[in-house]
Amino acid sequence: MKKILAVLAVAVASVQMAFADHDVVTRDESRLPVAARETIKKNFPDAKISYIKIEKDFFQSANYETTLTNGMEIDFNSKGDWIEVDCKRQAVPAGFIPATVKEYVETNFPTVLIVKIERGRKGYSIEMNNGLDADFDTAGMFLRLDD
Amino acid sequence: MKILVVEDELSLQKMVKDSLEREHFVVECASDFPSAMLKINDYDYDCILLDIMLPGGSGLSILEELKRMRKRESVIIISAKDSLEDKVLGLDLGADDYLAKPFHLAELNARVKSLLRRKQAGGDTSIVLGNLAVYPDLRTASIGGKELQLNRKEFDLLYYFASNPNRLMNKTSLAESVWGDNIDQADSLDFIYSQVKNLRKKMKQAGATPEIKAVYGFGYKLVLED
Amino acid sequence: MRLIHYANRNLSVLLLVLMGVWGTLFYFTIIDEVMDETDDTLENYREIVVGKILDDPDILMTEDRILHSYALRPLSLDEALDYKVRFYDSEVYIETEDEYEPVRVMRSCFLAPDDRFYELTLRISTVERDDMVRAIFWYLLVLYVVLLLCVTVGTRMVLKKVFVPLQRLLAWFDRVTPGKPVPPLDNETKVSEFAKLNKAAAAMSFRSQKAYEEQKRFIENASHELQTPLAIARGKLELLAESEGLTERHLQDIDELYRTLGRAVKLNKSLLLLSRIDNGQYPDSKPLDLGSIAKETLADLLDIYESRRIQASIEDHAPCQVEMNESLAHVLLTNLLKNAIVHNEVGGRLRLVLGKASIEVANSGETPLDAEKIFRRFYRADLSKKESTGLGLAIVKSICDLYGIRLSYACKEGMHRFSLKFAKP
Repeated sequence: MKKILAVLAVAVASVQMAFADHDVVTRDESRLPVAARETIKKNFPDAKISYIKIEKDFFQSANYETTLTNGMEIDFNSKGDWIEVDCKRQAVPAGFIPATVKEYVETNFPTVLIVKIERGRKGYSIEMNNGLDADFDTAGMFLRLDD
Repeated sequence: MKILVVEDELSLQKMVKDSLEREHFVVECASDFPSAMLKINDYDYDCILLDIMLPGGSGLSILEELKRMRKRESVIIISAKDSLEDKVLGLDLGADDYLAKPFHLAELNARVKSLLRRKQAGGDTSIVLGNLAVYPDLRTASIGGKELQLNRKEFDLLYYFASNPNRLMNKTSLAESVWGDNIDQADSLDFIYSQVKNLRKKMKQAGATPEIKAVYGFGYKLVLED
Repeated sequence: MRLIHYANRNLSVLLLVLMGVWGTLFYFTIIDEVMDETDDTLENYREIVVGKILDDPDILMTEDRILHSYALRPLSLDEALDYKVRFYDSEVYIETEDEYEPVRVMRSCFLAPDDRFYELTLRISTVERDDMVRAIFWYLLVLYVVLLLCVTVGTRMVLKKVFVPLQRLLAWFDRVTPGKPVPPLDNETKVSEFAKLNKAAAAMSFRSQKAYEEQKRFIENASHELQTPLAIARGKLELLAESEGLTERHLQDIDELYRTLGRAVKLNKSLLLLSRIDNGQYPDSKPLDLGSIAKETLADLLDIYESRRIQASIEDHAPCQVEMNESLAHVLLTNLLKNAIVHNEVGGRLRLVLGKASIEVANSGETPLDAEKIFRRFYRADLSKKESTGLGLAIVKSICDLYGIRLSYACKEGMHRFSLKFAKP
């Protein structure tokens, strides 16, 4: 009986731990990794951070969603590498866009702006202000296009 | 008086034979079923002592054979198997008495004599020794024609003595033969002593010729003066 | 306590606790998740509202007056510096309903495009959430009780079915009695353990039955076989005593031998009697008046043991009619009464009480005897009584066992009391 109760106690504790953490919303820039702060300063020299939302998952690795006062949103992983830049209806700063991607867009959609770019393990994916999405591999080579 | 002893145990057979011969009976023996049958066919006996378990057949078959042959021998069954069924069966088949081993020889004598008296005298079973007469059927005794006043225990003792005149009888044997197994040996000594003392006194007062003599250390003997 | 109840009780208690803990845990997890859901919704709202404000700072000047779902407040720099997001439950007055309604509130801060910090307060009604939580609680409780009932009743039924072969085996054991043939064991089962148990039980019963039979037969045969040699030895001694020229000394020795042999004969007879009783060789029984047999026997025994000067008294309350074998009835009463005389003090008291279905024999004696041992074979309470066979009371016990007579011993008021209680016809 004691054993069973002990096992139950451990189970309760771990479940509580897993569900306990709320996302943290803060305006404190210092909670961002240094790399993230630098990325922002370099690409958005005039912008100010409105707030930062820190999401923590099961394994306690954090995800930082940074919203700027102009409404743009840059997401970083726990190391401070950017993983998504959403500039709403404005152009994503060129510093986030690999050369091949830029070249592809300029070639195929010369008048169009890239408003959002995501970087993942499988490569890049961009959203343009004409409503089209495009996927690229990790080397920046074009993969597919969809709307 | 001729008696046949059918008994497979030779030493028991010899012992019974010796004892009966001291009473002046003519005793013959058979130690198995076939020889017993042979003897019964060839001769007449006054009494047969029959063991039930015999080599070659059951003593009960001998009883049946006797019945079939319409022989008038008195039969006493002697059995080691002291079971009620055997007893009932034996008596049903015409045996006159049943004696379980181990028995006292005095007891055997008494039974044999009682049977023979009954048979011989055509119903008169009295024992006469000198001026003493014992009437077992009436449970009375007289000396010189005059009735002797005895209680039950004294009569039983006297009858037993009278059945075994001139034989030495052990105290415990006397007690057991008269009162069965209920008496313990230690108690039997005092008991027999007082009973025999009373009996002797009564017999002496009535002037009996037979006399109960104490044999120191062993028991008593009814001695008939010649 | 029966095995089925024991197992069922233990299982039920275990389930009660396990399911109770599980249910509680489940309840709190669900509640936690529901609460979390509200907070997540608030966070989403916040993102939408802040997104809108960043897009269109004019909204800063507005306030939700309809649902009171959000409110904005400028923050001083000091306030903003160590601002912490807060979630809490509260109440809000609803004018249309004219009552307070529970709400969940989230307060957070953000930097607006005008470079000022604002506090955003978001509210969401939790009336429905609370209803749901209550419903979940009751559903879980009812489910818990119903499940527990089902499990308890279910386990009971299953256990009952599982233990059927065991019950049958136990019932069979009740029917196995030493000395009687082993009844057939009809206990079909697919469970190998029970099958094994059946086999072992049957084998053991047969073995013990066989051993019992053999022992009985051995005692009977041994006693039988001893009869003839004992007869010869005793007869020879009788003849020897009559030989000519024996001295007194010789006669004394012969007497001693004769009496020793007499004890052997008596022992042997008692053993034979015991084995006959145990073998049921006294089958025919008839109604007997045990009271009058007891009185006759007592008179005879008092006669024989006159020298012990026993003060006997008889209390005759009712005729004691019992159906049994006549010779065994005599053996029974003789042994009991003789015991009361022989193991009495000289001049002691003996009381025979005759009832309708009971007989009590009491004799003087102060020290209680060991009731466990006195009915054992060859047990002698008084070791100085060398003459006693130590079988008298064992024979009494055997006869009582044969007829289902309740035999008991007690020592009260300076009397050893042996009582027989007969089953009422």
